[in-house]
Amino acid sequence: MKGFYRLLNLEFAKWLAFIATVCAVAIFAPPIMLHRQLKYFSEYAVNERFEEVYASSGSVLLFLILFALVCAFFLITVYADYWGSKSVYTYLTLPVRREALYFSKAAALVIGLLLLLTAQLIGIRLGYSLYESKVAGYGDGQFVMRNGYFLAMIRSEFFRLLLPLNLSRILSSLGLLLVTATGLYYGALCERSRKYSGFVVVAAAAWLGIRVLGYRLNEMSHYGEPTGLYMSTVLLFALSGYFVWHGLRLVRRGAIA
Amino acid sequence: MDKIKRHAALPALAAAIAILVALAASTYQAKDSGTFEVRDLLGSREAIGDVVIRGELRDGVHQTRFRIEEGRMRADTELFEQPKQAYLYRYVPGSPVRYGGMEYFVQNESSMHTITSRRITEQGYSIPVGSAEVVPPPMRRDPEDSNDGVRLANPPEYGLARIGDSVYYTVPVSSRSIGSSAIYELKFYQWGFRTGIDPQDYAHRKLADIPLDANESGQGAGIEILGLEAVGDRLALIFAENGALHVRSYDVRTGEPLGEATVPEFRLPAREGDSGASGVASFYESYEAYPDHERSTLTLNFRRGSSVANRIDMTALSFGFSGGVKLADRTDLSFSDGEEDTYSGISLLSYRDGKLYAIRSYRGPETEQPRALFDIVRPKHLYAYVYEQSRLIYKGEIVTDWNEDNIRAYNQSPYQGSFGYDQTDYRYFTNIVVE
Repeated sequence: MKGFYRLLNLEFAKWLAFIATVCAVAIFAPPIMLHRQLKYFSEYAVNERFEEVYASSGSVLLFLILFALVCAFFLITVYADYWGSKSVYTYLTLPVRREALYFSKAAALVIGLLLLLTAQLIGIRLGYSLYESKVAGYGDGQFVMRNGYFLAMIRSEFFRLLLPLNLSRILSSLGLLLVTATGLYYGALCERSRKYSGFVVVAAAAWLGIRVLGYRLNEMSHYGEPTGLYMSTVLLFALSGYFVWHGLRLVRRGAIA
Repeated sequence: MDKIKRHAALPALAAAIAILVALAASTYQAKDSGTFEVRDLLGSREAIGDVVIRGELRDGVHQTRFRIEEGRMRADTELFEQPKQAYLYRYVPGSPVRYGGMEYFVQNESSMHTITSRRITEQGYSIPVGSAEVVPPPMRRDPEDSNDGVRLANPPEYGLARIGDSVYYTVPVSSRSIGSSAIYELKFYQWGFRTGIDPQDYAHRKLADIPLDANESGQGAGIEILGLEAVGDRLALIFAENGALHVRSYDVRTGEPLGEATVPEFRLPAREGDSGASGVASFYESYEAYPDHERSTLTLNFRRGSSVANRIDMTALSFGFSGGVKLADRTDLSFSDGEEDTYSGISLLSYRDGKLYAIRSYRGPETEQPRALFDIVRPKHLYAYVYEQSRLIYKGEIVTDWNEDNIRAYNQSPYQGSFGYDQTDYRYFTNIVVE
């Protein structure tokens, strides 16, 4: 356990500067982008709802970019062990269980993704305050929606994806987060151990993840009966479980050397 | 710095989770922060103390159930697991009528009326389930007469009524029909399987005859069937005859008439030989019916021709059905609180214990929010009225934030092109009940 704790912190230390920058961007860039978007808002203009201004300001796209950056950075931390000093050999000979090695890297990625999510949500909250103070400044406050932050959070599909408030959607979002983290790592491990067949499972997970994302970002237009998405959530968790299990096997066997 | 680096991971994780949970909790708690109150505009709120007014304010993603009990408002918000399509239903002539979770649609061809039943799904659309056919006896008077086309007094859906699982139908014939009409109990076969069935097995049952002798002469007002309604386990046939409104009750098993109430001085507008100058108000045929099955009462709401601009004049007639039929209350209603909201307006009447309760919503005047240039996004208001012995004793507004959903449409100008309106983005009242 102690070995895992040390390895995790060692791993996370590589992340610190990077994730701090990413979080700072996620918190402060959306308000700046919103500010630019709100420039032409006035009592004579059409004042879109917050969630629409947020999306049209590019903040949703920004999240996607930051998310991709975090994933890319993770891959860099994995592959960096094979470059130069080839520290992967050092790691594999450390007197700790190899599971600790696996979980330290995976946990660092999960923490990184959670931090990005949190920062993005703080950015949304800041952005809303900015929006509210802007639209409250003219037209005798007629442009302010009471309880507007709550309404934006439940009406926007993107916000509902980041901060779901129903059990089924919380589980679904959690499943997406886990399958991204474990799948990404598993893909890298497969490549390193030349088990290219593993990519089939990664591709299946990606396909499922995209299906779920597509559904959740367009829930209003589904004509069928409402669904709890439990089937897909169970599959996401099962795939995550498989990635961890097989990833651990690859690491334990030293196949990644 | 080094020390921080060596222990940063877990605090970072804890901080992330703590902030996430705090944000989620504070957002979730805000669900009940919206405005929900009753504002008294006239009289004392004690007037609604005897009843419970409940309903829902919803959009595509959440709904707030409210309940006004003993004059106090309680509201509770639920977030939908998955967004739902708008559940807006307002009967307009020609559209299907809804009873319970079903809707019924009548297609009338010259000799045969086909009634289709459809099940309403969670998402608000409906799926056809069954069909039934009625072949009424020929009732045409004079095919050569240029007025013979006007054979129905009301759209055919007015002739439908449902009691339990049984559906009854009569053709709402006009005074141009002669012979004998009837009330039928329908027998539905599986929708779409018309060719596979033996029509004999699905023939309707004739419950009662409605003689149309008064129309034989072709002179005078004659008899016009306005509609059929269900009150508890009785059928109520609503018809106009000789300048009076009649409501006749039928036993649903035997078809025996159980009583009849008559409202004199009931004139339908623009009838043949009617000079229109008699000084008696004319009532439009397309009434609204509000049955109370528990108390065996039926309130019919007839719109009257109004001589004043921006005023909606109506007459509510409430009938008691316990033992025969009795006219229990007649209240003339005049509303000038706004324009009728023909799209999502609420209109509800309920008569009990000598009081008539009306719940109605209107679109405010154009001047109320000059920034709202499209009619559909003009501010709306929901009012509760109470009448006792034809006198308005209470008026209150149910105040919520629903009009703020229209802010996004302020300054949207019809001259700059179109503007997309999706009811799932705008809150609306639905399922309002007085109990």
